[in-house]
Parts: sequence; structure tokens; C-alpha cells
Amino acid sequence: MYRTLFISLFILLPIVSKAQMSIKRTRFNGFIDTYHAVNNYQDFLSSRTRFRGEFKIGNSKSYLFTSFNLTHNNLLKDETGIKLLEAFYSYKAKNINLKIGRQIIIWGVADGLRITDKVSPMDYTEFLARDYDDIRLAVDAFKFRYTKDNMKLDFVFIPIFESFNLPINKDNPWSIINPKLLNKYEVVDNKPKFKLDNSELGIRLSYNLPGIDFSLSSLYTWNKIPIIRASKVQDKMMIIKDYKRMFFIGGDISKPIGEFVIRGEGAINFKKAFLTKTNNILRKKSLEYLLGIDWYASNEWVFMCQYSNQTILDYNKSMVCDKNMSLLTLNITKKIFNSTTKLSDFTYYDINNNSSFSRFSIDYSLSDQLHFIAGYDCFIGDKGKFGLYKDNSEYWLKAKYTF
Amino acid sequence: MRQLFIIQLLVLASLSINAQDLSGRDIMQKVKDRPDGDTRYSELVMKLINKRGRTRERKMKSYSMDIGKDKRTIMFFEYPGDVKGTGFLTWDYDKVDKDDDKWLYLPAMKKTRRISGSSAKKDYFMGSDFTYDDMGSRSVDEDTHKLLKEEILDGKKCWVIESKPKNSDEIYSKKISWIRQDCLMFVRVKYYDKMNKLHRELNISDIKKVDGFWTKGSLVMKNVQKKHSTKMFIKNPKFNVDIDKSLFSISNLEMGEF
Repeated sequence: MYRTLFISLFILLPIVSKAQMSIKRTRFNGFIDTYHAVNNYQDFLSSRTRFRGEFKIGNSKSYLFTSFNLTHNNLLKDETGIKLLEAFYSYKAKNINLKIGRQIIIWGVADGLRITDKVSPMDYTEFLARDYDDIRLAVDAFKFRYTKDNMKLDFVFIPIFESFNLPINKDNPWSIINPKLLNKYEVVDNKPKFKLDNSELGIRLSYNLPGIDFSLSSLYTWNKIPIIRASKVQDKMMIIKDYKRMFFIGGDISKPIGEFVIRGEGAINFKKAFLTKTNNILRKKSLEYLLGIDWYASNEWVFMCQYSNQTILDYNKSMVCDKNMSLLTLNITKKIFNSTTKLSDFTYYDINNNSSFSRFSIDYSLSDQLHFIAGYDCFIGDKGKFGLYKDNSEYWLKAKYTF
Repeated sequence: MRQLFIIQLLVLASLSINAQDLSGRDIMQKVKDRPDGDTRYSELVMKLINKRGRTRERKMKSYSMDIGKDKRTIMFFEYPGDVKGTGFLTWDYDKVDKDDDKWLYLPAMKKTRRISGSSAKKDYFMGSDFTYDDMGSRSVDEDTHKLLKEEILDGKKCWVIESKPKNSDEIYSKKISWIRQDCLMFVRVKYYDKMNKLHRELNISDIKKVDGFWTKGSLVMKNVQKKHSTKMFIKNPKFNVDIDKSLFSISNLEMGEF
């Protein structure tokens, strides 16, 4: 219901407010893309075409913004249709900025990893086999920003809970539930109720200074990746999704040194939920950190490497996950032919499980509007979250027309 | 009448002595100090032309402000659609040993990324033939300058200056600049590669006064080795525009230009 309210609000608001705001400009832009992927056995793992529209109306002080996807998905019928991505009102005065509505909020300096970036959840419907910007989900939030010189102070209030989208539909080739092991089941989603008590609150203080950026952040939130348990209730197999309250304090830093930029991020999580071998939930304190180095080499080469670690501070041997979990990422991009062609690779390597995921791509810009992109997603190893998809290595093609 | 003639003669003589006394560095410093307002605004259109004559276009808006000897610039990309909304913020420092601060806002990622201030200068800007360094303001003392000669170019008297970078990491080994003496504007720059072969040639035209300040309207940078060129047109230039220092912040970079 509240979704409908939000949608109505943001379809009507531009019309209503047109008369009230001293409108200078309206903008409508977006893209059409088509994406198809097959695995080594010639099964389609993705096949979708979509229209993205972005509409902005207002002036330099206040504006309304909406973006939506109109998608036809040949594999996942539930994904076919119209989906509101963002819809918010923004107001700016000398030192303040207010954003109200459905919006994507990104914190931290990490790429593809979440240490303090816990406000906007992620859409894992096709796991990580999408562009990273397609994976982020918006939250319905009030964001107030106060700025002074090189300082930003953000307050975030999220009254409506939004969780990760995890693929649990058995028809989805990216399902986290193996259909050979579990074929018939019902899903119980114990999402927090729409109550003020269940709201999230966050604060982030950032400084962008000559030679260094840093920020401190804190969020009273939920574990937005549900704890998933399989349980038999009255001869029916149930998949139960649970969410628990948690809280974190963290910070990030970014410092250029010559051709390099050093990035760091860390957070202490309080009462983070973990699954036990006996199908129970334990809430523990954990420490997460990330160290990254970006090298802006000449001739349009960029290398970005990150190491991240999670340590459960009061670990219990009954827990399913390891006490220490480490991940490495490597991102390499190279532009050639006057930047008309971009070669890139983003690799995740799960150190604990010796498994990895690499996304290679070549992006050719045929004209200012039209891009052809081809790629290969490679899963290696049979353990951990990448091992789950060992049969999902895929070749893919994408065409994108931007207007 | 005779008195006036003598005074004119003396003024001309003193100017001539001054010009002869000027070193390459002095001229480059004069060019850098040429009045161009404390704040600026312009719209840039770039046409990238490959050797087969195929053209691509880039459009952006740019604001800049002098803060003492340093300069802050914020650019918002308007075209093509896949980069629309991208913002680029630079704090350029006059001090040679201080790296510039640079941030890039990527709207698709909803994220501002700090990028290296030193290496980004050498890369080509948006696939054009201009480097980030060409687009920004280079400190006078990053190169050693030598006045080679005076020459008439397109009917205008110019100084011809050779500049060699002090840092061996630069993409050029030297550049030769033609600077108009009447308005202290570059009209031609030839860039030589590490093998001392001509690499790129910049020709500047449509030089005129706007709001009392000299400004350029058209720049053509040709990569003679790759046979790729970029035409840049500066449209609607404005000087001493009413903008605040706070415009050159991450917060504004993320808000975008409307």
C-alpha cells in the first residue's frame, strides 16, 4: 500500500508542483538495453530487455526525480513489468540539502563490498552477474544534509524496511536453493512490520580536505541479508527468512599518494545475526575492515585491488561461518582507441573457500549513444558463495542505447 | 607636437626594452596572470574526429574560481547520455610540489571517487586529444621556459617559447608555444613526444573580448601521429559570475547541475 502511495505521490507531485516551483528545466533521459547470457551447456541464464526512464523537473534549488525500469524478462516472469527505482524530492538551501522519498544512499569508499555501505540493500536476483549499479536497491528515506566548507553531516531516517533480494525461486538459475536437494517448499518472510519502532537511523560525518577524505558513520539498522533456514513444519518444507536488529560504528578514509589512491574502511557491528549448525540464530559482535589501493597508471590503465576481512569477536564453534572471512578483489580497466573501447575485469576471490568469480567484458562504443558489450563470467571452485554457482559460468552479450 | 612625438618615442623604446628583457618564464607568468576575472562560466562542446572522419561529441558546463593563486573547477557532463550527470571537481594548486585534488562523481554508482591528482593529468580527457592537464591550469614552474624568437602569426606579433617539463614522467618532451603579444593568449602549441617527434598541435582561434576579458572561442587539437583530432568550442563564456566557493564541493558535485 505504501509503495502505491509513494508511486502516486511521485507521479502526481511533478504535475502539482509545476505551478508552485519556479521551473527552469525538465529532463527526460534513460536507455534501452538487451542482455542475454548462456552457460557452457547452452542453457540461458539471463534474457531480458528493458527501458529505463529518468525524469527530473525543477530548478537548481529544488527538483523532483523519478527513475523506473520497464522490463521484459524471458526467464523470470516475475521480473517482467514496471518497477519504480527512485522517486524523491530534493531541496537545497545555502548549507542544507533535504531529500525525501525513494532513493539510493551509498556510503563508504569500497567497491563491490559492504563495510559501512549498509543503507541501500542489494538485488541478488541474478547474483553479481549484472552491472553493479543495477544491483543497488533504493530505500524510502528522509535524508538531511548540513554542509559547511569541506564538511558534510548526513542524517538518515528510514521508516520502511527494505531487504536484500535473494534468489530463492527454484526456476531462477541463480537460486541459492539447490532444486536437486530441495524441490518443493514454501517461503516464510519474517520482514519487520511497518512500525515506527522498526525504523532505521543513521548519521555520517565526512570531510573532503586537500590531500585526504575521511568520514565517520553509524547506523541503527537490520541485517538486511536475511538469515535463511530450512525447516519442516507439518510435513511441509519451509524456507524461513529472518531479520534481526543490529548497529554499527565505522569510518572510511581515502588518500592520494602520487599515482595511487589508498582507501580504507572499517566498522564494528554489534548484534549481527549469524546462523548456527543447529539452525538457530546467534547475535555477535564482529569487526569488518577493508584496505584498497588504486593505481591510475598512464595510458588509461586503472588497477584497483581490495582486501577485506570479517572477524567475529566472540565466536562460537556452533556457528556455520568461519571466525575469520577474507575476500580479495581486483579490478582492471583499460581504454583503447581513443576511449571508444573499454576492456575490464572484476574478480572476487574468496580466500576461505578458495573460490572466485570473474567478470570479463569488452565494451565498444559504436556511436555516442550505442554500446555493444560482450563478456564472460567465470566461477571457479566448489565451496562458498561462488562455489554455489560453479555451473553458472556464462558468456553474455549486451546492447545499450542511451538517450 | 614635437614634445608628444618625443614622449611616444620614449614609451615605444621602453616597451621594446621591456620585451627584450622578458625571459620565457616572465612571459609565461604574464600569460598566467592575464586578467580573466575571479570566477568564470562556460559551455564546452567537443567534436572528436577520427582518421576516417567519424565524429563523436561531448558537451559539458564548467565553472571555475580563483582562490589566491590556486584555482577550483567543477564540470558537469551533459552529453552523451551515458555520461550525463557525471561531475568532475578539481582543486588546482599553484605550488609545484603539491598534487592537485580531484574527484569524480559517477551518477550510475551514486558515488564520488577520489582520483589521483598526479597521474590523471597525463590521461586524455573523455577520449579527446586534450589531456586533463591541458584542460586544467598548469603551474608555470612545472616547466623550464626559453624565449626562442618573435614571429608574426596570422598578422599578430607573437612570442615563441619552448617549455620543457621538469618532471620526466610527462607525456611530452617539450612544447613550443606561440603567444600573442597584444592579448597574452596562446594561439598555437606544438607538443613533442619523448623521441622529440611532433605529437600534437593545438591551434586557437576566435579570440575576442567578452565582458572586458580576452577569451578564446575555438581550439583544435590534432594528434598528428594518430591522425585523430578534437575541436573544442567555448560557448557563452561569462566572467565574474556570482558563484560561491561552496559550489566547488563534493556536496554540489553530487547534486549535479540543473
